[in-house]
Amino acid sequence: MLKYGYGGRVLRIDLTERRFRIEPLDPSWVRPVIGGRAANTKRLFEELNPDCDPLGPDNILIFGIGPLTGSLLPASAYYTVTAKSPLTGILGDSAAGGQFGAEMKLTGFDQIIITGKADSLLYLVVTESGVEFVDCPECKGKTIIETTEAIRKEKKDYSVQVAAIGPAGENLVLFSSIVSSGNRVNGRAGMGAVMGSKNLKALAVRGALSLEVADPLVFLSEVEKIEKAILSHNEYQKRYKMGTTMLMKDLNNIGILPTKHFQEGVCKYVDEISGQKLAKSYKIKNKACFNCHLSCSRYYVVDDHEAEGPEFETLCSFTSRLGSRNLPFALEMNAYLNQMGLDSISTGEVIGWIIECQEKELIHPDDMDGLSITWGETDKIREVVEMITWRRGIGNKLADGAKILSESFGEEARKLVMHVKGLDMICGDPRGIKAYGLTYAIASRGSDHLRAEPYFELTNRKEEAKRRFGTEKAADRLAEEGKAALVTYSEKIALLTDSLTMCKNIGLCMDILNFENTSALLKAGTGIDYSPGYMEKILGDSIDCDFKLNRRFGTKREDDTLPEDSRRSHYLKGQQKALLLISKEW
Amino acid sequence: MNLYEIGIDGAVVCNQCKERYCDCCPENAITIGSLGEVVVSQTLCTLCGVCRKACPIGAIEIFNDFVYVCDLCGGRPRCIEACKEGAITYEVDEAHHPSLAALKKETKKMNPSQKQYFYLKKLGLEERKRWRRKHA
Repeated sequence: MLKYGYGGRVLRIDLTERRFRIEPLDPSWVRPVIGGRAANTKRLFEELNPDCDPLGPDNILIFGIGPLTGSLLPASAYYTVTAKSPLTGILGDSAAGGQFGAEMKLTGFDQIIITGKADSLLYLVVTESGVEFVDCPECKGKTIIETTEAIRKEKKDYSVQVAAIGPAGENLVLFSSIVSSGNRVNGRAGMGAVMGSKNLKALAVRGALSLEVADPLVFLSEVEKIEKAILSHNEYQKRYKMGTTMLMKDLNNIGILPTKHFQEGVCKYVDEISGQKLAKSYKIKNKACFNCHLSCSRYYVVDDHEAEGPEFETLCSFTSRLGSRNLPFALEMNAYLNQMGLDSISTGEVIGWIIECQEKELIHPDDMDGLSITWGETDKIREVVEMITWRRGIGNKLADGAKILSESFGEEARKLVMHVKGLDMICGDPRGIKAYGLTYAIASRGSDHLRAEPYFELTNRKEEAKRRFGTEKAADRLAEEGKAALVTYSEKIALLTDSLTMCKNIGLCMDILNFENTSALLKAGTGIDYSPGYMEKILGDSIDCDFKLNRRFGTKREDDTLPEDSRRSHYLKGQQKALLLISKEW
Repeated sequence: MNLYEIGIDGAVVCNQCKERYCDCCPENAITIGSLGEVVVSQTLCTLCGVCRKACPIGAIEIFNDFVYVCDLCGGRPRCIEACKEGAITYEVDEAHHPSLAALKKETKKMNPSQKQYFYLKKLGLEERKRWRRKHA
């Protein structure tokens, strides 16, 4: 019986039959996975038919939290959504913060497993005692905040937390997202489309249980140590002011800011679109996830638009990656994408790919329903995004993502898609950050930094690199030596933060979590013994589980590689080339 | 509580109002302390919920058989020390504060959650006018 930390129960919901079942969470089942992302993957591994249609009733959609979610541990606000991805056909998951995870903890369910397909659009209200199925035909086509507000008003309770899909999810755009707390996005791998395919508009949670830890005094002292480490971190002020948008300038300085769809790595007008500019001209105030000491998110007002965000990926995807120097436009797009439920990285990639192909005359406007578009054409980009959301006109094809779309074009055009295993590449040119490059290549959900986030390689801590990974080169972003050790270590810490569940910006990028302090936290929090050595072993096993699952979905060893285009050096020009000092084989 | 549609977040805590709407406890379990804080005697309290209903902003909550209301931490509120944003203050900003008497009427039929929402929205809309002016 799991008494501390965990809620100790699993909720299974069958949408076809409109029934639910509550099961106890088996302590011996959960111990080797801790919780969160690792537990979700294990569940998928055990219960999913790998040949199922990702958009069919057999796909399993899992909302999972960890033992310390919603506890006093700073930034323990995350929850992970896992399913077979319709975009990539392999393992898909995506984590988000906000208030949803903490509220879900109070329902006493560590996992909510959703199967089947409802006959009409509905939303679910999960409380500690069970599930209410509410039909909501009036919610069709509503944005995230409209849906959230409608549910909170209907329930007469404004502490209800809602994870919803927007019109993009309803229209089964393959890279649509689930959005909770108004602006917190489970963006990647098309989780919104899975939810949409089940006719599930929203999942609302409201709990009245409490969270107990095994040893409150020890837990508090461990938490205080972590709080101190965060508040005295040398990047604290910068992150507090700009959040991840600080990366616009940081990445530009080292020549890896994707510009014009990865053709260049240095953006000449970065000052017009940087995090500094955003903080100075448009930011109103800070925003935070549940129990966060960093409150790195921003609320902005620009012309008639206002919203939370954007994070670096969205900002870069709709400025330099598309050759636009219009910051207000990116802010407008951020609000639009979050409310419609679209993943900004994949949306940016599909548009960027078309622009590059048209520039190189690989795709004729006639093949694109007359769509002719070039760098920085904000009005056209806006129009295309709208068409994708509603799957209108050519948007219907674009909504399948760049990789699937490219299959109907020539080889040259296909090569230009920046993806690994079908998932579009994030904004960070792997040519100048070797450990990240390795991470993109092997990440189990496709091209993604969050599987390992080896931010360490950007921090230039040579002595620490020698101590941890045996070579100073691990802290040199252009070296290849020591990067396997760095990525292996970071992969485990990344999985650990996802499993606790905590924010990776804090747990991993700021280098707050390690096996020792997590072992103490887990012992004090759950009362279960986790020695650092045991933890390292089970995390390794969980990462293997990811790969085994992907093998079942049909991935091969050859798939664990970078897109050809990103391996070629002849695309590098001028300043970026000088910054990167390309090694011979590239 | 987060008001996503207008970008306002806030916690609703006892204002130590002059009107003392909660001072209507049938069991006399509520007294006013020397700092003006509301003190609930858990011995006398029967969890009838009259005070919760009386508060116009939903600052009194009953959860797991316990009455929760701000007691000012004995004069040194920890929440004010902890808030990095300076969002919580000891003094009420009278000039920008909505009238509690009016709120009392408007929130008569609401539950505590709805009252908190209504109150925060009023405060928030004022705040937003100031943003707009700043960024006009």
